[in-house]
Amino acid sequence: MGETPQDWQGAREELARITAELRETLATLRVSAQLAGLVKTDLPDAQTQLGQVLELTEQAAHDTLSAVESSLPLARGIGEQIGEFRMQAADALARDERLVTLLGGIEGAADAVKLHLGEVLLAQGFQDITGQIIRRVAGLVQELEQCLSAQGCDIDVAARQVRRQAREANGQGPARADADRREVVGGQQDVDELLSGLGI
Amino acid sequence: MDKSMKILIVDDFSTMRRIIKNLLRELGFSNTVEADDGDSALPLLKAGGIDFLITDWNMPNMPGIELLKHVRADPATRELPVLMVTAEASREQIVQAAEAGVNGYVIKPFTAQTLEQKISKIFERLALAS
Repeated sequence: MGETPQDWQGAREELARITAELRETLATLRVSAQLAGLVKTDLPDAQTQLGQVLELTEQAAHDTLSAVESSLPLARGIGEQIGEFRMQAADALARDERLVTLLGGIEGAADAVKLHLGEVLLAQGFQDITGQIIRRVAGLVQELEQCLSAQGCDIDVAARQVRRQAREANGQGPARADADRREVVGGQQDVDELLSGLGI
Repeated sequence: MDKSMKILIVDDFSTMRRIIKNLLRELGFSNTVEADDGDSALPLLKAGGIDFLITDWNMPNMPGIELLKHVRADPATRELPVLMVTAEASREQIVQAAEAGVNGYVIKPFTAQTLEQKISKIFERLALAS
């Protein structure tokens, strides 16, 4: 019996189906291999690196704070010594206007240094804000790692779980301008208005 | 306002505790103690002698809002003035803190002037109430 065109047609369709399946399987295998690498090395690496950023910024902020703590009393001391000098050298100052101007200049500079040191001090607050954000991202990376190592991982479920845990646990950290769906205040003035409305 | 009052600073970031401590010193308050979360703050509060509490919200173990609720629930600390200094910015949370009995709320990042204003306001109100 000879093969009919229908048989050829059927065989071609079967071959096409097998090829498509094989292609899909190969793609899945490649993805699985990539995922395995992600779970085994990349995600733990990412967490370690985030931890390093936390440590480095914390150390840098503390070094800066140490320098500020050493400098603030010096700036204060200059101001106090100028006061003392004014009393001790009252006669000389009364005689020479140039000394008064000079002393005023030193005093102004000491005050400005003190003011700027205060700004440097407050600016180190970045470490707290960025630290909270880094911890939040590290938490997500950990969740992703756990989810991908588990069988039948559902990324959506995992993401929802992370968000719920964040809400229920210890607060949510700094607001994210674009991504945040929470109703957040714009700044201290908004907080003051809100609390004032509540009698505080 | 008594500048020698004992202030407890609670924040899990040692840098932020150090910043607040320095700011307070510049404002004339040198009597400060520190704790890194609500869990470690409670024993200090129970031991007594704390006149003012400054706390963060987002902390491991016991967050600031729980600490505030504990403070208000304990007859020994019920009247303690509490200032929250936090990055938590949702209206819902600020209302929650108000309902839990917070005396002031400063949002991070903040200025030295804001901190000074809020502390003054808290003690002015307390003086008026008493």
